[in-house]
Amino acid sequence: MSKLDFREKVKSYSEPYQREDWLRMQQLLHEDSSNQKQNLLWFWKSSFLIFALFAAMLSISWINQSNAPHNVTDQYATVNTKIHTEEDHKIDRTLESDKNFDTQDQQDSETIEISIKKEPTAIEELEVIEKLDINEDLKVTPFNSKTTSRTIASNIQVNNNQNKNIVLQENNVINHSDGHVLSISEHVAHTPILDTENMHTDAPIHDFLTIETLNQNSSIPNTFSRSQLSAMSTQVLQDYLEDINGIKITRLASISTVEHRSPVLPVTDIIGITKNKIKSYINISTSIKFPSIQINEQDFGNFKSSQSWAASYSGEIGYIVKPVEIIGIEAGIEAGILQFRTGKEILISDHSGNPLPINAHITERTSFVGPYIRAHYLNKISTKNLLDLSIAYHHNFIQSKDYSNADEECTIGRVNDLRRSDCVLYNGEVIYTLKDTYATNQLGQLEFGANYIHKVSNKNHISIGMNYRLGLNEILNSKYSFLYEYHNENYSIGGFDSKASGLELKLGYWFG
Amino acid sequence: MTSFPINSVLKECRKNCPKAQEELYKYTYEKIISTALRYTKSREESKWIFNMAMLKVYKNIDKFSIGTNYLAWSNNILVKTCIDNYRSNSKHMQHVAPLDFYDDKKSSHVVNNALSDMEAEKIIEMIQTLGENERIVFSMYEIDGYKHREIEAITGINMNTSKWLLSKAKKELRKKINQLYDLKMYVNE
Repeated sequence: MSKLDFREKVKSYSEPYQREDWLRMQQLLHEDSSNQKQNLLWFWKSSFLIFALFAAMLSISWINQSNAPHNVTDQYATVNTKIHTEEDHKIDRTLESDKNFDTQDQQDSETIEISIKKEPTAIEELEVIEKLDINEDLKVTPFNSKTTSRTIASNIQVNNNQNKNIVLQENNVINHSDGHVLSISEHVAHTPILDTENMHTDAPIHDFLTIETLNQNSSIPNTFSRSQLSAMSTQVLQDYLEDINGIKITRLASISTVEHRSPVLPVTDIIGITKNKIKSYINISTSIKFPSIQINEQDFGNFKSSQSWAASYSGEIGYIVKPVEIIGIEAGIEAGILQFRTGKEILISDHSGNPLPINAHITERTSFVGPYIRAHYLNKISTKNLLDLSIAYHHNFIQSKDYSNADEECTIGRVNDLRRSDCVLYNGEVIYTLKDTYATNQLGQLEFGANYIHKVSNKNHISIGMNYRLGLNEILNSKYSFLYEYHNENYSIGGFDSKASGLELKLGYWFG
Repeated sequence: MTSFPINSVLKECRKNCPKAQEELYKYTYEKIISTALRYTKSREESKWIFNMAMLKVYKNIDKFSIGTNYLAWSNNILVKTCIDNYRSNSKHMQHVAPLDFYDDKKSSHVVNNALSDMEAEKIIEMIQTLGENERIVFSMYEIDGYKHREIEAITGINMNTSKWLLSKAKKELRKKINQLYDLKMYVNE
């Protein structure tokens, strides 16, 4: 028997299928269908999560804005309101030993306060005192409210009935021998939100004086605005205080000199320590790109891009350092996928010599991963909003599984499975083989970006923006040849060098 | 004997009709399962490969031009699936083949003749006993008619290695055939 017979015998071998084989096939089809549905589901879930995250960040931002305390105004608090507030939220500045002083007198007493400014709420007072502490720590010298406050205290001298001069200072409590208790406390109030990041505040720093006495005559008003107090002559105020409890105040005129408004200064000037503080953030972002695929010309005609643009999804994680407030340097890693589709009609001759058009479509799907470095220029728009202009360099390594050999040739089967290309190659009785040369596996990209950054809190920001990416070299360099097995002839059918440049939409979050 | 209505079955398959899919599966299985058997080392593996190929057939059936040769198309997909499976499994693609090896044409002729005398099922069983590389090269070269250059292009096996593997496969087959004939003679005696 001839060799041909031996080959034919094997090729023509047949055996009946078994039902269980078909059941396995059904299961495979079902699993494949489920996988497709799961992929679709995953896509929608991811989209939903991204939008939910974005909505949550906007909500947090909105809530923070709603809860922000208002600036101190020049409106005057009423006596009742003041007393109520102080009773509910009063900060106890009396010494422990003094608390035990004459219990009967305390029961009969009424707290009367003279306020030279509208008092903030108790919460605001707490913040105010906290800010005062910060200022003390920072040793701010120009327009320092602490210095001013000390001036107030040192300029107030109170005489008791025995004409004994007492210099009142902050938190000072005087236990008079005749049973009167007087305390003076000082507060510095200013805009509750102090932005420590290169923001300017236009809020004035206010100070006010609280004088508390015991055994007061409740018929006398006890609240004055600073302007009222300033307008009073020294004598009038002195008489007033003497009417209350016989306290004689000397050198009171100096009170009128303590009112001041801080000029509009950068907070970094007020709180000097923030000026040179190096800050760092973790940036997590996701983006969708729309690169246009540029198909470069090769011999034997071109493959044409089947799409005007491709879709690319990627994510980044980076570390940002801000040596100064307006400059940030970021380094990180990016990973993503890129897919695009090309196609060409290939014209060859069939076995009868007639023209035989073949439509070849190739879907290139690659994943990439690589480092990037980015420089930020942060431009303040308002207290909480920044414009971030950035420039970056990305070096992406295109993943091609075991397809690393640049000159390796592959068949359509390999293209199908390893690179997930989609080729229509069969036509009629002949079998074709597509061979591919794949030459590039690294891609450099320059990125120019403009992002809007919104501060959710002092440490956390959201960013949304648009970048333009410029491809510096080819993503893929493919050349295809076509083996027409009927004639055992090779047709070179061209190929494409593909570059990708285009716009990118990006959503990110900076964790401080 | 009525011919199988392949065109109408394919049209129904495009509509994802399960009955048509089963009909197509049955038809394809009976016609080209031998290809999967030749390229794999066991019946179980060949059925798994065949199912993977059929999955590709079902998924790409819209792209097939009805009226052309379905069996050639599906057989091509099956061969590619077998080779892809071989490539993904084999960690030993870079064989160091002797640059010069003895091509025993007489031995080759004897093996071919002996195989031709055997039943197809027995031939397939014997091919399945070969090592993976030898089996792939033997099937591609001897049965499917690929040239060594094409084998290199498709599988990545170097051309010289391919020739060496073919020679090795034939030697192994001759050895097995001799054993079989000795056993037959022993049984006859």
